[in-house]
Parts: sequence; C-alpha cells; structure tokens
Amino acid sequence: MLFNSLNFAIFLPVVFVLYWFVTNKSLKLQNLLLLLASYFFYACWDYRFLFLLIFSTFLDYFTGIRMFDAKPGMKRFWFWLSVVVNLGFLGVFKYFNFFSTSFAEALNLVGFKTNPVLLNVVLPVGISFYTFHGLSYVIDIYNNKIQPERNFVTYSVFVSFFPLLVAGPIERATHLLPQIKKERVFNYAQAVDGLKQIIWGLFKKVVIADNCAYYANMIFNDAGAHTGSTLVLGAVFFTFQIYCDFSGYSDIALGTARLFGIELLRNFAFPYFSRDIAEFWRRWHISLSSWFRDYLYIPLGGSKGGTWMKIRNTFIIFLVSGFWHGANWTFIVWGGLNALFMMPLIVSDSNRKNLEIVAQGKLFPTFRELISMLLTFSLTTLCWIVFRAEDMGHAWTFISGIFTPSLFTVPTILPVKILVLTAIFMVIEWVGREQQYAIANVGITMPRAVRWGFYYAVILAIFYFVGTDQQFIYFQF
Amino acid sequence: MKQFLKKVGLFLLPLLLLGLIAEVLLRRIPNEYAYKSEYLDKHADSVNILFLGSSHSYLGINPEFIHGNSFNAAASSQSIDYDLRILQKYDSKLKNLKYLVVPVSYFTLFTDLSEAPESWRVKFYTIYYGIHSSSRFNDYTEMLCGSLELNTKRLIRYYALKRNLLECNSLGWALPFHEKKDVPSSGVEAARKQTVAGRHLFSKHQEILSSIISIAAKHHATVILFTAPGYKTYYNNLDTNQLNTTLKTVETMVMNHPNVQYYNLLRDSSFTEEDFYDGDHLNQFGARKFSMKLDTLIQHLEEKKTLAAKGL
Repeated sequence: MLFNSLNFAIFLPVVFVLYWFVTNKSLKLQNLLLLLASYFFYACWDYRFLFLLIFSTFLDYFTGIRMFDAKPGMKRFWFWLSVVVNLGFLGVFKYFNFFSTSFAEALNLVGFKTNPVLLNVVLPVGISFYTFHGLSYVIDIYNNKIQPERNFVTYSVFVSFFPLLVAGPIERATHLLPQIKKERVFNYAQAVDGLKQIIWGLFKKVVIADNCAYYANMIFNDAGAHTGSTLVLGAVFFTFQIYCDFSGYSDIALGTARLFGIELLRNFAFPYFSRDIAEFWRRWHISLSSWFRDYLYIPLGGSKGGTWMKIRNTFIIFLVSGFWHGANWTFIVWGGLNALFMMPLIVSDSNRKNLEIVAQGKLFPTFRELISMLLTFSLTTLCWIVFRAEDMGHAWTFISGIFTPSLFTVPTILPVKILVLTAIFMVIEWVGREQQYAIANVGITMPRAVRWGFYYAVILAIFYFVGTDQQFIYFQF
Repeated sequence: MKQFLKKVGLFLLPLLLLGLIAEVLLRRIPNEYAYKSEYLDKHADSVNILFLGSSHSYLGINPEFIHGNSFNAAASSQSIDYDLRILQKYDSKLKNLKYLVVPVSYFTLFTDLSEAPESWRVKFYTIYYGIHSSSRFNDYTEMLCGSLELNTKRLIRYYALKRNLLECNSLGWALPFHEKKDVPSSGVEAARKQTVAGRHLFSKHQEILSSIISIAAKHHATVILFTAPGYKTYYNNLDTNQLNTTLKTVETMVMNHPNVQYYNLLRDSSFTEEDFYDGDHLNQFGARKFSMKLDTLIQHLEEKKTLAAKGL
C-alpha cells in the first residue's frame, strides 16, 4: 500500500477513527489496533513476508529479554544469536546473489571457470529498515542503555508501526518505545501539523519527484545518446527526484505518526542547502546516519584516536552505508566518493563547522555561503550519478559524456514546466528552512482564508501536476 | 477531536464538491467508449461483422469499406481480456453475428490493459461499458484517473472551446491523427516496448482466445484472426521467440477450431511507408487499403459459405 494511493487515503482515516473513537479508552487496545493495521499495511505488499517480519520481531523481543536476564557469558550468546540471525536474513535476501556473483567473477579472473549459484528470491520490502530497528534495540540492551520491553504487542508496534515500516525513519527504542507505552491524548495542533506535513510530503513525491523521475529515467536509460548539458540536467533531475521521493516519504510518515500522537525522528533537514559534505550528511537520511554513527563509528573509536583513525572510520561507515543501500558496486563506490569528499574536512578538522542552518534569520545567504552550497550540491549530484547508474560502466558512460564540448550547448531535453515547478519548490524550501518542514509555519499568523488558500493551492497542484506513477525509491533498500 | 474532524470536513468540502462537479462534467463529454457502448446497446442485433482488439484494429479497420453491417469496437490498448468482456456483455444481443475479427498482434498474448502503462483506460470500460472487472476504486472515476491538468484541458476544450472530442467515426473507426510520426524510428521503439520479459499472462490469454472462439462458434460465426501490417523497422526488431510463440498458438487455434481463419499481414509488402501513421499503425490510406483487403477476404469466405450451403 503506497502512501500516495487511494487505498492509503481510505486506510488512514479508517484506522484514525478506530484509534481515537473506538479504542481510545485503552492503551492496550490502541496498540493492538496499530499492530494489526501495520500488519495489514505490510501484507498489502506481500503477505508471505509478514511471517519473516513477525519472526524477526519475535527473535529480537525474545533475545532482548534473555540477554537482560542472563548471566554475562550467556548474555553475549543471546546478543550474537540475534545479530547473526538478523544479518543472516539480510544477507540471504539482499546480498547472497551479489557475493555469489562477485566470487564467481573473481574465480573466473584467476582461471577457474565457474557459474555463480543464484537465489531466485524477491527482496522483502522494508527488510533493511526493520532489521536495523531490531538491531538498535538489541545493541542498546546489550550495552545496558535500555531495559527490554516485556509486552510483545508494545515491542511489535515499535518495530512495525506502519508509517515507518517500509522506508523508515529508522527509530530508536529510547525514542519510540516510551511513546508507545505512554497513554496518548489527542492533540489538535499536533494533528493539524501532521496533516500539513502529509500534504507537503505528497507534493514533494507526486509533483516534484515523479515528474523529475520521468526525465531522469529518460536521460539515464539512454546515457550514451545525450549531449553533455542534457546529461547534467538528467543528473540534476535525479538529484531532486531522490530527495523529494525519500524526504517526501519521510514527511508523510512523520505526519501520519503525528495523527496518532506519535513523534518520529526527523529524517531530513534541507540537505541541499548544506555548505559542505559533512553538513549534508547531518541533514540527509538523519536516522540512518546517526544509526551508523552510534552503532559503528563510535564503537570503532570515532574521532578519538587522531586523524588516521577518523579517516579509517569515515571510510568504513560510508562504505557500509553504501552497501546497506544495495548489493551493487555502484552503491559502494557512491559511499567511497562521499567519504573521499569528506577528507578535506576531516584532515582540516572542520567537519563540524556548519552545524546551524545556513543564513539563519536572514533572507539571503552571503556570496561565500552561496558558492559553498553550489559546490556541495555539485559534489552530491556527481555522487548521485553513480548511485543511480545500473553499473559502473553505465556511470562511466554518463560522467564521461558530460565532459565533452556538448556540455556548453542547450540541453536537447528542456522541460520548462518541471524546471519552474522545481524552482518554486526550492524557493518554498528556502523560506521554510528554519522549520521542521518547509510549510510548517506558512501563513500561521495570517487569516484562515489565506492559510487555507495556500493549502488548497498545494493540494490542487498535487492533482494538477501529478507525475507518472513511480515506486518510492527507498522501498528497494 | 470533534473540532479537528469538523475543520477537516469543512476544509475538504469545497474540494469534494469541486471534484464531484468535475466528475459529472467529464462524464458528459462524448468519447469513443461511450459512443461504442451506446451503439452496441442499440444495434448489436444487426451487426454482422464485429471488429475487436487494440489500436491495430481501431486505426486499421474502417468499416466504411466493408460490405455488410459492421462495427469497429476496438480501442487503443484494448487487450484481449477486454475483447472477451465486451463480447460477453453483448453475447445475447449479437443475434446476426457472422464474422468476428480479432487481431493477434505481437503483444496480444502477453500483455494486459490493467498492467499496462495505459491502465488508466480501464475507467472507460467500468464507467461507459459497465464492465466492472477492476478492483481499484480509481478505475470507477474520471477524476482520479489521469491528472487534473489533463482533465482540465478536456473540460476547457469541450465546454469553453466547444470542440468535438469524439475520436471515432459513426462505425467506430479512429479518426485520422493530425500529427505525423517518424515511421522508421517509431517502429524500432514500438518493437522494443512490446517485447515482454515475463510471460505470466500467456496461458490465461490462450484461454481467453479460446473463449472468444467458443462464443463465436455458439453464434455460428467465423473468427478471423489477423496480424496487422507493420513497417519493416517494426517487424525486423521483434523478438523471434515471442513472435513465434504467438504464431504457433494461432496455428494451433486454427487447427483445433473449424470456425477460425488466420491472416498474417505483418510483412505484407503492399503496405509502404506512406500507409503508416507510425511503425505499427496504419494511417487513413493504409486503413483503407487494409479494410478493403479484409473485405475481399470476408466476401471470399461468404461465397464459400454460400456454395457450401448449396452443397456445391
């Protein structure tokens, strides 16, 4: 069930009404309703994988309790059991074919002719997200940061809460579990805010991402046939597609959760206004970046061991992050490129220079800030080319095609309507960059007619400029 | 909570009203599906020759060049399952049906309208034909299929500019397109698009074809299966395996059913570039040529039937 589908438009109000009107007297019933709704939501994709989700949930629930109650020696056993089984599932469904093919290719290179053993399996939607959910819970118990949740329904809602189930944000037990355990009272302002964020998320997905996707696909699918300037435009279209697709999804997830009185972790904070790559990574897919920071970067020593350790650890987390996205060398190279672009900041110890949003309290950035933003945007766009490419050959064809004399010609594909829409979108994002999401405070002090007029305009734009129906990109991860 | 629901209701009310009015106005705009459904409702009992199928029939067969009462009930992207549904709907009314003409194109046995990029056309069958085969709510509304931009343009063109949006003639043939496509390159593109990776619909569509033949047999009608002419860049770029599977299936149908005839005009050299609208669709000149060929075939079959009836 997609967020931008009519099915979801029916599902959400039904669950909302049941939640606040039928089960509102009992927290247990509310949580049970959320769990059943979440399983229904997930089963709409493929009910068979629901059993995998339930098994994974039960595994972490069970090992969490056993780990907490066990003696030190057994604690380690239960911990590793959970980690190995969780990563084992991820490995089989997501990485088996990649490793098998790469191994066979390596053997072929040294003269042993062999065919890879391949599994004919579909990747269960959301597996990377709920696996990381569960892992964070188990690791936190192991590190004595939290106590295990003993109510299975409560824990299951933490893992399977439908707004975040298939594409995050990747929640933490310390943040979400207390909210699930606490009695929830309907909050008018929170619900209105949730609806506004849903509308904005839909605008980003349906109007910007899907329209950009059409042209990005057209240009990427035939990279060798386009001029350099057209390829640049294709890369820019993908840059906006992936941002609006994923952050649009996150906005809808956060807004939906607010309707149920639950606050999820913020996942995006206007990353394309970043002044350097380090700032970009503090603003892009925040829940994943912070996951890797807390569960990989810091355990590896973080930035405590001097410059070389920082360099090593930065490369490790970016390469693992790339690999998390998918079993393809393009993702690994994408991670490597991002790590590489971080190096000047790491070496000069200036990676935490830009912590606040750019030009805070001002209408325009300084010239220096503008140049920094454009440079960061260009580097990010270059990385997205590798990310989007089918394989490294495709990425090379695309990038080498850009640096030709045709770079200085007018692009052969120039969809003015989409460019104007994207420009308007970026202006709105810029104006609202100090808020949680761009339209959070639009017209808040203005009369209702003006405010509603703006929302009507956004909704009509969603229906008017609806792009070709595209799957959310991050569902494949 | 009540205040929230009240305000949300109040906010949504104008949008719902606007949507409802637009839905009513859109449904009142004449379109070829509504016309064909209405035509068959009124005249199905007098139709002798019925043409079904996708755009290969819709653009390629002009009943004006066919002797006898004929009607073209084909439509763009109309897949064989919808051919069957239309036939089932008018089964009891087709009392004088003698020939049922159905295209078996390169993609016919492998694609389905509901899974195709043009799946938004399913609404035409649910709304205007009353064929309620879809489980998606969108398919029962004009407003939720297609963008507001497209629907607004339709409303303006019909109500403000007073344009006629009916795209077929009185016998169901598609009115000629004004734009001209690059025939050679569109042939390559069409072949690429119509080559399928999965074959999960193949057996289902074989059964559908058999059902169509059975319905025709019940009416003592002859089924004429045909593959429409294509431009060389189209047929030269087709996947041999997919094409051969189609041709073998049709041959089996012809062998197993005495009321089935098949004509393969895919590589018919009498059709030149001037006869094509694009790589796999005929223009008005090609349609005239093709319709006359079909007419000759039908006349020939009719003569044979008459002679057989006389025992000669």
